[in-house]
Amino acid sequence: MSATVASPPPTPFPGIAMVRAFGRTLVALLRQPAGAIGLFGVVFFLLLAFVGPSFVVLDVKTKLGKEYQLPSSEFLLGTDYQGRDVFSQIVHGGRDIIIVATTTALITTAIAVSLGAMAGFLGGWFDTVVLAIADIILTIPQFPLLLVLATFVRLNNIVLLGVLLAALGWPALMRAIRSQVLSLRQRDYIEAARCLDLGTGHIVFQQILPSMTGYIAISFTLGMINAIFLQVGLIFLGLVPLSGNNWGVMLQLAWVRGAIFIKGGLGYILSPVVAISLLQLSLIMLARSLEEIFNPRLRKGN
Amino acid sequence: MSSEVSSGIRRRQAIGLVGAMLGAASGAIPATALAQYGMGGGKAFNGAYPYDLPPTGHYNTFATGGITLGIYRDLMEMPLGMYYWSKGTWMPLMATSWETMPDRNMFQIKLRQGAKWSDGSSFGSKDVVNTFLLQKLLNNVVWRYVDSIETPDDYTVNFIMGKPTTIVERYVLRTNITSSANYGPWANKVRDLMNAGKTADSDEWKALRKEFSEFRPKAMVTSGPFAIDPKSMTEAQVTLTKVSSSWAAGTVGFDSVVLYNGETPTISSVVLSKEVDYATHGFPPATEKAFKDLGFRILRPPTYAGPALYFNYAKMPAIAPKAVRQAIAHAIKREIGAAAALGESAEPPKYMAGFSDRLVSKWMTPDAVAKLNKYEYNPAGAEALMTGAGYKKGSDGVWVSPDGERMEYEVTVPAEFADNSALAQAVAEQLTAFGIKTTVRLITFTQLTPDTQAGNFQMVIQGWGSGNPHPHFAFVADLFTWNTPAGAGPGMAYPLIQKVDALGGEVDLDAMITASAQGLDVEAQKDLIGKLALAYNELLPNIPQYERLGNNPAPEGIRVKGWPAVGDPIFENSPYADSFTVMLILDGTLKAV
Amino acid sequence: MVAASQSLAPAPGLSPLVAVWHSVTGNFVVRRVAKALLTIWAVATMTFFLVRLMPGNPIEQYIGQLIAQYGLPYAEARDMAASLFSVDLDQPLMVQYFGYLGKIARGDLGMSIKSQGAKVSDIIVAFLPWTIFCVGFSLLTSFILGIALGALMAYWRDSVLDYALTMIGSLLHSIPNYLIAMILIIFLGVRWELLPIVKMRGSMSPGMQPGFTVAFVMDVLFHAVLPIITYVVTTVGTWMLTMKASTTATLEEDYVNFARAKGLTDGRIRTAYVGRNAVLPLFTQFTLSIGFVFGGSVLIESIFVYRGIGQILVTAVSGRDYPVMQGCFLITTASVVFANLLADLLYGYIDPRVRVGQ
Repeated sequence: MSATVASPPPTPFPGIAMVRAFGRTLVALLRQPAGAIGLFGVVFFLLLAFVGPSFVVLDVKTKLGKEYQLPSSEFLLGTDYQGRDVFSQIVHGGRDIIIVATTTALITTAIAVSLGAMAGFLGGWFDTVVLAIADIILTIPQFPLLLVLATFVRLNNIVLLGVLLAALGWPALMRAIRSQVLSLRQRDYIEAARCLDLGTGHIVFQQILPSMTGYIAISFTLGMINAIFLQVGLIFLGLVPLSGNNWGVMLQLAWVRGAIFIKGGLGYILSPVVAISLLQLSLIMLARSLEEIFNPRLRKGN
Repeated sequence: MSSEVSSGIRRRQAIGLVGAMLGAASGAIPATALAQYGMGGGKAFNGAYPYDLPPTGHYNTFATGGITLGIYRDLMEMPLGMYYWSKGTWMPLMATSWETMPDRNMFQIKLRQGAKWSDGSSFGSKDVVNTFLLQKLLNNVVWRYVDSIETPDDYTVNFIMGKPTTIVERYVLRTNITSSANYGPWANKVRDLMNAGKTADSDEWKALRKEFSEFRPKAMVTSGPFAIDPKSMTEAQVTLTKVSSSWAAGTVGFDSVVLYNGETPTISSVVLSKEVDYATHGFPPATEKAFKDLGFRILRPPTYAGPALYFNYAKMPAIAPKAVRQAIAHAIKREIGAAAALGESAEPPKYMAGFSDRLVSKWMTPDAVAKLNKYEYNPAGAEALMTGAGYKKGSDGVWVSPDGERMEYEVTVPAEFADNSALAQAVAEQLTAFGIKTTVRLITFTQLTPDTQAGNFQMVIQGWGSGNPHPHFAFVADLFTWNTPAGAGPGMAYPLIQKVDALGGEVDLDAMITASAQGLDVEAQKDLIGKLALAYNELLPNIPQYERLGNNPAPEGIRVKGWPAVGDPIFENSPYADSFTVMLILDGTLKAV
Repeated sequence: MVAASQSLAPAPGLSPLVAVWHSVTGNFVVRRVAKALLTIWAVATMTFFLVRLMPGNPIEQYIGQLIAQYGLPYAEARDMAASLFSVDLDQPLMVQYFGYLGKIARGDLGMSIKSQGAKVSDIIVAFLPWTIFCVGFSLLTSFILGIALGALMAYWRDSVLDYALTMIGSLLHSIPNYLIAMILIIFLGVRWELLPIVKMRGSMSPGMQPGFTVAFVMDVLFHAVLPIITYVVTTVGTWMLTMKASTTATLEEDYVNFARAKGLTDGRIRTAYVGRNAVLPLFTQFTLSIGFVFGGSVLIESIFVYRGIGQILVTAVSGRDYPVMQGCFLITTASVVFANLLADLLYGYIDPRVRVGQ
């Protein structure tokens, strides 16, 4: 790029536009039953995981004689194999799961957007290589690869877990961004921006991404869903060393310690099962509704 | 007659077909294939033990992945004898008598005559020698003490000891003898190498070892009353069928032994469905409770080992004075951690002798036992010990050493081992309450061994005691395994030259432990063990928390009857080292219902 | 600069070769096969290096196990382990790498470390067919079922059936398959005791002789029914919804209207026109789902104690049995890649547009 100095055209501050768009989306979401339920579900779980722990104390005390109790007024969701309250574990157990899922989705989106935009813009060998890598990652069965990768995760390093999950999650979004960039590239205003020599970064972030927010939001949600599926699966197999409380660990302990065979263990094993399922369901409903809002063609098609 | 049979078969097939269709549609399958079960037929004993299916699993019982089936191997490739821990006597199996001859430094065994292998060949001294030659190929520890083996006749084997010791008896008698039909040619190759003067570090030796580890016999040839039926093996279960030609077949009251495959979670469900008559898996207390609710009897045999609190002397100088460790022992109520970890299956040690309480009276004089400090829970006494050693409590209630070290530490424990992590939690809480601020540091179980060896910890929960009737092995576990110089790394870095008041001065623990298993004079060994116990009791290099007891479900009356009453001395046997269940099957005490 | 760029241009004599090269790389089949092989090479290389960077090695692991389980002194455990694992992990990495690639090319996946002398390829041959059977059977069932239901939903749009199936479809799709598996065991097996789950473990009953007999086939189905139900239940929703969308879109195409105008019967339009054209786009999705379901088998097989490659992989990873881990992962990937390749080629055959385009 030459060092020609061209003053950027006076674009309106993008923040205000984004806030407005966000507000519009929110209203549209609340108008649909599925969207409203999904949104409320997600907000509920966020509150449960991040605000709940300040109100509910995590029960770590072994209480002999109170093992595997069914839900009661004393223990809302029953007790585990050491007589500890399951409800408090559910309240404290969502945080890690959601953090890993969000980290994964964030990194996935970041990789996908930057690689997709660069591949679309630069083309040539870079485009070919990125596409080839994406193709390979899409074909490899993800879960077995994660089993191998997960052995690198040291205890409680949830960020690394998120990074690993993201390393396998970006290709689909990347391809979509790339093709979007390819088609937008041809349009007049982008051509104009190119002529003004505004720089790739500017074009991507000011011109192309805003037009794709909807698609990115959907991908972000889907990325979280996939990350939850994968991380809980890994934890359940006991291949990711995680201690403390999280729904995956609860599930694993309940399974390994044979809670399913014990009458009183029903509350212990079903609580994480239901919590994870409901969170997934809320996210999926949210994603579906977002899809309908941002992609009116789909609405017509349905 | 024949038409009746074939119509019966046709009907069964029809039911099966309908069943399979129904099942595929609704998920509820009537037991079409269930007619195949209990194929051993007749009187079955159902146990459980994990194994790998072929080709990962195989019948070379010397190599990794061999389908040995743990304690049940003794029913197939029989050892020379099994030990009654309480009585201190032996149940003769492939050997009928034996004797140590001190004048020749020799251990001589007389073999059972007329015994046959399952392939029809006769059992004799060649099988014993061949087995031990292959043990030599694999560096088995018995060859540290034995120089050579002689076979004066078909039924006599002499072990000539270069370093005579009483522990050779157990090493030899507990060895499972394998058939020369399978392993003879390999033993001959070892013999050739030895005759050619090759040693274990020669290339030829290593090559043979590798070659041998890849040897895959078609089946296990057995001397005992049972043999694996390879056709019956699935990932769920395997059947051991009766070998009626075995010398031991007559006394055994079962026609087959069915073993369910799997680790604790899988086996829990099988036990709960009343398909298992005995299981050695370590069941969580809550699962055990479910067994009890079904009316199953729980056997609690001692394992002679358990977890202890280890200190890293290189990383916590404040722990160096023995008074501090004695104070810690007094400040921890061991019953709390034991109950939290394993409930009734954890037994806090009374004597703190460094080896199981059950062996104390067998190895120590009453006088010496009386000198052992029992370290009962006594917080005031603990405070006094700390103050006496010059330690002071800061304003935050945490002890500070005379050198100014504030006593705040981590105790490392694998997150996956629920019993040990519950114990660590209980210990940490009590130590913190006492003024040694302790947090639990969870690691993943695969890191436990390397981290402990490397001294990568402050305090750690590791094993004490040993599943061997000789206390020498317990002291090896307590003081060598995770210590310099015997271990692979610095470990706890506890110096083995120590001043012991009870023994009137400085002693070399290393030399004493090594000597305690040497020689043929049991009295001399007892003397050393007694001294070691006093030294351990005074120094407390680590603090044993409990001895683990098995919690083996043994439901009576479903298929099996005849379990001895609670308190029967046979239940003093370690459930893994000399399985009382196998012995009770062999002597006919356990019978089919 | 100019000279250099000129020298990069192909010499005149080479142009026929270039033309051949272009026609070869331009060929649909060749391109797809090359992509498949590239993927397998990339995976082989990646696993090789990953596996060697992994923390914890099998010998240390085994020593720890000996000490913990049998209470052996460290020195004794070390001697035993060292003699059992006569493996040379100390060779230079690149030497190991090229040796490994060469062996893979010859179909030699090496020997297990944990079970000395067991060939990795033998282990895979013993376990992989069960996974392929179970996953393949489920995928096809689910695909066919989903297409049928999806088409029904499209024809009876906005009916009760449509709403009910849409609800159920999204609900089942959102719950991870391993949770469905657990729920099946908890309720059908343990709580309500409808199924003998203890007897359903494994892939066949003891003493069952493999062969094309009614008894054997039914026994195998008996043991596979729970995994199959799990796979089908968790994937059928996606097929249903996608098929519905695809059929709806096709129904609005001009040629369908044209066929109607021509007076063709509804049945003929449904099968010959709409069905075929609506299913075609789903085919690419089908190929992608192979990898997903295959990968998920790891969890399902563990939960149902079903004999398969997934179980072996988990054991190998936790025991750090490098060769078995590499082999399993490589073969799993290769199966998926070849299934994809096959589906791609088949799709190219069914729908000629694919071959011409791109």
